[in-house]
Amino acid sequence: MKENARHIAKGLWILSLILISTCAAKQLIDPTPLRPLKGAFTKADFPSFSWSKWIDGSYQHKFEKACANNFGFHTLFIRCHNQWNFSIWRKPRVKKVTIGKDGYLFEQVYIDGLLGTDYNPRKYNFDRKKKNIKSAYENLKADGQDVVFCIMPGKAFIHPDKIPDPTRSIPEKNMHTLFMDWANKSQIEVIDFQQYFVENQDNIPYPIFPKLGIHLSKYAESIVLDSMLRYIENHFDRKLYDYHFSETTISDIAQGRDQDIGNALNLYFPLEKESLAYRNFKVDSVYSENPNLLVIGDSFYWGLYALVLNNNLFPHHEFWYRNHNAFPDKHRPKEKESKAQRAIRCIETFDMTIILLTSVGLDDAGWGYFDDLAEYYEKKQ
Amino acid sequence: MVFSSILFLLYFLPIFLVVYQFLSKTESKNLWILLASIFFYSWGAPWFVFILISSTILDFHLVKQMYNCRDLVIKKRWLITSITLNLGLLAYFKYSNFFVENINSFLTMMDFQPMAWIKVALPIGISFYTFQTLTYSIDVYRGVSKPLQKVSDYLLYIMMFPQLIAGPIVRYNLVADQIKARQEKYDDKLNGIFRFSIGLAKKVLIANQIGTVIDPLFSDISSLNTGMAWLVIMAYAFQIYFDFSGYSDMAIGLGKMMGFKFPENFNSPYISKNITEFWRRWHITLGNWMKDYLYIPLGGNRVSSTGRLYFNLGFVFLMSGLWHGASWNFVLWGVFHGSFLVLDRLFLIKLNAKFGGLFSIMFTFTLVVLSWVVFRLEQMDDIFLYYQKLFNFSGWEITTIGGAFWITFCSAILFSFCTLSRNVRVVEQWMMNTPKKPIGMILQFIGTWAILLICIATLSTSDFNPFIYFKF
Repeated sequence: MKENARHIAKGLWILSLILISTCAAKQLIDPTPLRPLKGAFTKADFPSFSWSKWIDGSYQHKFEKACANNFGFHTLFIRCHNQWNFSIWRKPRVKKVTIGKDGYLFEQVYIDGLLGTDYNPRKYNFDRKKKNIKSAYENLKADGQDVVFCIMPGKAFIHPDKIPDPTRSIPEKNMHTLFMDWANKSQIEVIDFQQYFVENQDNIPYPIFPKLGIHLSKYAESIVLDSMLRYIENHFDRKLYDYHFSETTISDIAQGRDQDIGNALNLYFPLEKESLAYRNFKVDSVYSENPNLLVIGDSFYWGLYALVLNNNLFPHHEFWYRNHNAFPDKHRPKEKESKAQRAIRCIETFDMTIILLTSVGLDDAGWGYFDDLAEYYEKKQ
Repeated sequence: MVFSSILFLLYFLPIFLVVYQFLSKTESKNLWILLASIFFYSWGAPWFVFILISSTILDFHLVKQMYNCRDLVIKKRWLITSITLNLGLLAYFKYSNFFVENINSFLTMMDFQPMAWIKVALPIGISFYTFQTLTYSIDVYRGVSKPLQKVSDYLLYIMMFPQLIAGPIVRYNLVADQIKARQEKYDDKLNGIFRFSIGLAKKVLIANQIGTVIDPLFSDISSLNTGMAWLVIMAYAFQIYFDFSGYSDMAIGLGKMMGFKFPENFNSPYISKNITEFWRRWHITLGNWMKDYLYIPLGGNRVSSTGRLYFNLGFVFLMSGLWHGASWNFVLWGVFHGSFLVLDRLFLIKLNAKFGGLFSIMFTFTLVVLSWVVFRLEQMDDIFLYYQKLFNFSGWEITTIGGAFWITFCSAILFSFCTLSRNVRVVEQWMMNTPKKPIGMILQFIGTWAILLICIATLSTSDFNPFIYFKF
């Protein structure tokens, strides 16, 4: 081989060694990831070594996972790969997310709800649950506590023209209609935001759902908050607080969760920006002897929770996320409560309970809350 | 640890190569390869590594005794002892479960109490390990090669991480001289990493992508119609080819980076015109091993009757099937191929020739695809159901397959059959061999890094990464 070619070969080989060592070197020198990933994922940490773990292979298994999750530049590799899948195959690498028309992203569950592909009355827990809901609802009312359901809209119900195949026929019956028929017959109080937004979307000047988000836009959230607070005031038939919303501003910088699915895609290039409306919630005064409020809800309540809590609108306010963890932390009991203890605390503490959930999750309304209460009342009798 | 894992690609390999680069003497390089190989093997089989090392050391001394012995009878006894040791390990770890399960089935059928038995775990790569140790003792016995002087060199030959787990089966006489002294060239190393990246792409970008789609379909055979059944088994044919040949490419490439020349294991097997040719192109090192260490000792072609010749062929393929796995489906797979080898000799090659090359290739490919059903499905009920689905013409609608799969599937077809073109074969030769001109080196370097970056990006988001041939 000629001397020149030999030098080139040597140079390229040394360069190859440097390149192949770069990721490990980056992790050693600076383990903080470039452009950290967003969304829900579990990152594996490096395990501690022990001979027993080595012999049974669990150490190696965990170590390999940790390497795959932490190697230098891994976030850039993931973003590049996701970008390729998104741009070429229109495939989001986020579980249960679907790309719709005109850049709209959807959670598949809302499309299924709209198209009725999940509609199977026998499958619904709701048929088994409604007896407990009714019984607990009436018993709570007898104990002086009111319960109201707030039904949040699913994105596909507001933008049926933006789902991937908008020509598919939309059935008349779905979980929402089933629930509303039953609630009307059973005289259960419901604030149906789904129906409100579907009927009034042409009159609302700003997007109800952001293109790249799962949840209501900040602007639509402010409408929900306003309606909820007014409902509570009307219900207790007295003035509870004075508040107003600041002037609406338009911004293409997404605030809060307005781009939550878009961020979770973890793409290399940013997605097209969208102009959204924002207005601030300002509380002028809170009157005394306001009721204590319990909200049992899903992720749609997080945006409202911060506003309600930060402005001290209720002397005692708790948010039970899917009837599981209680927020804020200060209200979490130090020791684990039994179902009965929890029921008693709930009856004694709160004046009103709001069950806030989306239209496709109504088959599990309350996430077991009414079952526990019904059991408590049954035993009590 | 598999080659297509982040741990291997971005941690093990860089550390190994960088240290290797700084070592100058062959002895120290060999020692480093051995240490890395022990670590590599113990990562996946932490307890079996002790058995592997001790049996290898014992075998080294047995073969040394055999070589030093002048009495032919005693020499043969040493050989038999060495073979018994190696085959005994294989029999115990790979076949004892199968043997006991069948005995127990028979006992249960006869209303007897089945034997109590704790299942033996199969250590990775034991089949390849056994075949390599056998070549060492038999080659030394035959006088093809002299035994190694140092036990560490023998351990290196047996345990070298590129080929220990899934081949290619490197015969002792092929690498004996390379272990003692080898010439390392930078252009070979560059071609080695290029070859490695091609193997990685075959595995990560084709085999894994196909596997992700078809694996769930194999677990629900009853839902397949005829069209889907054909598509899925054809896709499996490409999956196993790109998986296994990709692994072989990676092993050969790694060997080149260290200065070793390992034998080729595949040569476009799906363009074969008959099953006999297929076995000259598919898993070449296994076919050659079977020929030299089993078929020829049985008498090979030089036997008194054609009946004996057919028996030899059938027996070799029965053994080949069993080598792949201790299960009746692998025996059937071996019988399937053995039968067509006999039919080739009887009339099939001549008959195919009358219909032309393209027909022969399509016919042979169809036979091979049909044989993969038996290879892929372990349960006899599933195998019969699958053949039923293939031939009951229950519909041709292809559903539940996404667009990306079709691109991968078509690429697999293209890469499997493109070597029918002479021009492509020229390109393939260029890729497989070390370029002599700087422009060739630069092109291979750019190709290497483009492929490696795509593969790393794919691996970083994928959990699906099993190697099919690891279980053998």
